Amino acid sequence: MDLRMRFFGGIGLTISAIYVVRWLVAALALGFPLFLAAQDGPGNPVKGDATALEKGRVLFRIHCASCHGIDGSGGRGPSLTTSSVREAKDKELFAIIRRGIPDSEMPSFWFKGQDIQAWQVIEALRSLSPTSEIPSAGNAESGKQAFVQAGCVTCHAVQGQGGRLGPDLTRVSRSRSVEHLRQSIRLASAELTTNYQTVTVKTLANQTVRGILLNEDAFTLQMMDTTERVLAFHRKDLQQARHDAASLMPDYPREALPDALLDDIVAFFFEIGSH
Amino acid sequence: MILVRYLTTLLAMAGSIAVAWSQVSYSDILSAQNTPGDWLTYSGTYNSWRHTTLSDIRPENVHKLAVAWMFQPPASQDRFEATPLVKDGWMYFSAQSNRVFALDARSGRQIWSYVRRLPGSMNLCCGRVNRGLAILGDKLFLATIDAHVVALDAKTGRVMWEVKAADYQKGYTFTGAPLVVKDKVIVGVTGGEYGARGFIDAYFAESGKPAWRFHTIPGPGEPGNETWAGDSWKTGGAPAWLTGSFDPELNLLYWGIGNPGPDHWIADRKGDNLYSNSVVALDPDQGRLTWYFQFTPNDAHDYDSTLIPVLLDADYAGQARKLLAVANRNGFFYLLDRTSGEFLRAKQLTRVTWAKGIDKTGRPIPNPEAVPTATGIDVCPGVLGATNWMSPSFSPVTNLFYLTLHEACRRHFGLPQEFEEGQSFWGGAHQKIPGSPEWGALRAVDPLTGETQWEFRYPHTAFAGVLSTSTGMVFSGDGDGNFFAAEGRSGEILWHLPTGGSICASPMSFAVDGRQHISVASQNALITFALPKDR
Repeated sequence: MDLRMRFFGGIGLTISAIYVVRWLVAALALGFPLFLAAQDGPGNPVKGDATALEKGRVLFRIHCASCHGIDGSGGRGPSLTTSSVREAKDKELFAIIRRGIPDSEMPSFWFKGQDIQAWQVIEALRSLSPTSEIPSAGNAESGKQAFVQAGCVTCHAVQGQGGRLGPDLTRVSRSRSVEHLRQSIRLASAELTTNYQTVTVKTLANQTVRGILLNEDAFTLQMMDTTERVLAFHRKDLQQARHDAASLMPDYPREALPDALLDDIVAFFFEIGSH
Repeated sequence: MILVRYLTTLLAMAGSIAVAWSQVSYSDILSAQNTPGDWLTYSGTYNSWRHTTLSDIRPENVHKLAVAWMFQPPASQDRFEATPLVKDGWMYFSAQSNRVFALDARSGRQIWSYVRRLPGSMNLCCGRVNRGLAILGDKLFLATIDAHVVALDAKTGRVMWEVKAADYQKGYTFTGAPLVVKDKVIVGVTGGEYGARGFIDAYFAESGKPAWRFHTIPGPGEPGNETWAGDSWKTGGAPAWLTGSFDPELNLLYWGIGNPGPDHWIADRKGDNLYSNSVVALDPDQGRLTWYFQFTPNDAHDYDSTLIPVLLDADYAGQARKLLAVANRNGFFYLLDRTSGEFLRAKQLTRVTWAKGIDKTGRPIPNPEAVPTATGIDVCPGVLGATNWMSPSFSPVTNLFYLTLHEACRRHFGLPQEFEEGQSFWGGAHQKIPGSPEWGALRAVDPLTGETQWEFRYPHTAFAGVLSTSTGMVFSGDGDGNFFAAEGRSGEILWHLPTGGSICASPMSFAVDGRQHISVASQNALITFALPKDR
């Protein structure tokens, strides 16, 4: 098969105007209540099917576990074992799996055009052991102060205030587990966040500029430097352009940030993220 | 008398001021290299060089190249992947979802369009894409995503005949451009991810009557069937979804064959799995196999070898040879003797971990640790392949072979899977390896040695093909939307245009009104370039 970059998000726009008109006429002819019922969806067609559950677990391990954890308890992605997921309707989960979540790191899973696989994954999701999100042990108010005092706001915004070099952390607790947040603060370079690739360029005038990559192609490179200047280069004006494995964010070992303060900062994220 | 003279003058004038439609004969295609103003078959000529001898556009003036026109029909899911055909100023272009357009090649204005109504729901691995058309006489040939072959009246777009080649509900589709050879139109099927049994079909161009079918997996009792354990041959894939090449002197058709299925689970299909991942040489009149060469026996990584076989003649090891060169998805560049299929040489193109090398007979030395498991293994090249369907080019001016390559390792999972008709049959899955860098490049290699001459890198993988010119240049593009010209010997970039859409198609060249043009598809736009008239 030929694999290409796919844009999964778009729903097919191939339906002609005639089809739309016909569809509307048909819907009206059938009566609107029926139409609304159809929109509500039939639920999971493989509900209670043991084989489907097994297939779904395999698919989950391949496609979901790297972010949501092998047991669904979260990591880079949020926990899927909480009540908000358990209480979600099948069709809502189906829509998220197939379309992804815009402006988030949750991609769409098209499963080679096979709806059945998305339903199998939902069946596996339903089988996860329920847990409640373990709240951070810290004090959010103290965490807020520590967040400011440690200089985090230089690069990170919360609630509209702060820098642009790092991700906005206002809602970070909705997509990261407590443990993942703790680890990310201790050792940011362990995993660079999508869209925050560190880049270093050296101009023909021997100037070295470091920052985050905004975009690049074979001829140009766009970046934000550490003073938040947005710079657009032609590669011909650069001696070198390098992706760095290390994050711009410094590590925060225990000596720099005691465990108690770390817990406080994480608690602060959960506090502001819950609003 | 005066009236007749007047009409004659008018008609003569019409020849120069209007685009007049004309037919395409088999001898036109045979001698396509002598009429570079036309582009009559997918790769330009039967040897699949994708090379133009038009010489208006040269290294010293290419910086003046400008957009002459763009064609953007209503956008559709997926994107343009086709190479247009041109005959006497008429352009024929196929788009995804089985749409065909005839255009005035001077202006890009539409003359007619055809659309084939498709089923609402289809199981497809890779979208409703189409890569091009074939033409003979007054007919255009489209191989459809719902597994039909359709002949259209090239003048009007009306359907002249259509035949059902296979059942799309069983996973069979067509995405490639057909190839016309003599009085037949030849098509290869997809379905390697759906447990289809691949085939190459020939139909009589005039009537649509079936001429022959070559099963890419031999049936019981036929040589090669024993290379499939048990009944695995029935669902073994081995599709043929691109366009082949043809040597009229040897009367041999060369066609690349795709991956065996299920893609990543090999325990249930032990054996070499012939003729998956091979190139086959067929007699184009009867469809009989003359020879084959298998690149990747018992493949576990979706290393389709459907890639375009490039035919060239050269002295090799002191002997004049008819050669066949393929840049393969499995990470190696191969050179074969196309008379006999004899293996001559393989050279590694990219990072390779699935094999430890290639032995003297051309057979890979497998790495037993590179077999996909339930927990996943990292393998190079990954499922994208070292290259893919985008066309390479051979330039007789630089004697170099140009290809777009991927450097992308992936994590492959292998899992047993029960076959269900019409459902995808991967036997596992694949994903990106977190933190593993991936990039693309245009690479120039010496086809006789496989040695790299130069490379131009892109930060992302790309699916754009290559056109070479007799003025010593190559044109190609990338996934970021740049279309560019490079000097063919050095790789120096001479010109580029950001098109703003991903280029997943192969460029071509034609002439109209005596001026050379270059066309390439970018996302949902067909862009045609020419030098300004006042050059």
